[in-house]
Amino acid sequence: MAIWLLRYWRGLAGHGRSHPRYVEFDPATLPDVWDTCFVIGHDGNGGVLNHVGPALHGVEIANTPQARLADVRPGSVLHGLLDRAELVAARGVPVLFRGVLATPARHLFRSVGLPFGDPAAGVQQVVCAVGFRSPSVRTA
Amino acid sequence: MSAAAAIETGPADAKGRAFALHGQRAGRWRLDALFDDLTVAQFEAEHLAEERFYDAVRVDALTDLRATATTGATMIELSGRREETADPPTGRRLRRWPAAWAVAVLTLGAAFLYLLAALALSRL
Repeated sequence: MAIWLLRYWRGLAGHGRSHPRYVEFDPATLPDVWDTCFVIGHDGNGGVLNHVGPALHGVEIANTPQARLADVRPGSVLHGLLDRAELVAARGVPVLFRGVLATPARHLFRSVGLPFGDPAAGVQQVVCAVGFRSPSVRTA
Repeated sequence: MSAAAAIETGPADAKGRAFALHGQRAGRWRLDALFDDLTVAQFEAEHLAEERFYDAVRVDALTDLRATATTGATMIELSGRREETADPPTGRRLRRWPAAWAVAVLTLGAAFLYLLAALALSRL
């Protein structure tokens, strides 16, 4: 999933740009992946959660539109992933990483963070997809 | 999922390293992506080389994902479908045949000269 999404992103960016604009990203083309994605928008004021996929609802705050990153519960899965998402924004390139859910089931996951934004404005959104070994972390 | 659920992210590499995939276009290298897994980084580098997305690609080792400077080790460097160089202490070659052929030819040559010398000495 991570590699597939990375290549999709690279196809959007093409050869001449460091990253594509978020409006070019069409979640309808990847509904299964979208369910395990969260999107961070950088508004210069700490960032907001623009989207939290349904597969992440059981482990996170509700899919509240425009939730502040500060509302994300410390110690949660999403809170742990925010660090990597910030790295994506800081470096302006995709970051692929893997980890383990610190639960008794210890689900493995592989994740990719992708930068989006107007090339002149830098990274404005980060799309982070989380591919778990299990269909949904809600059952963990 | 319990309220205490959290994740353990971190370097998957046994040495704790991360890996930076760079692509070269029009003579300029640019950072393409960061990985915590060398296998995935090499897999993507080979894909980009085969697709000729860049003129050349290379994968450098980093001390960790947040590092901006490499450790100095280039794990793989590819140009098109042909590998160019990859010979740091921690690197590996995808194709060792040119070096293997050179060693084999030199070894056979040395053995031939040795036999010639032995034959000449036996006739003295």
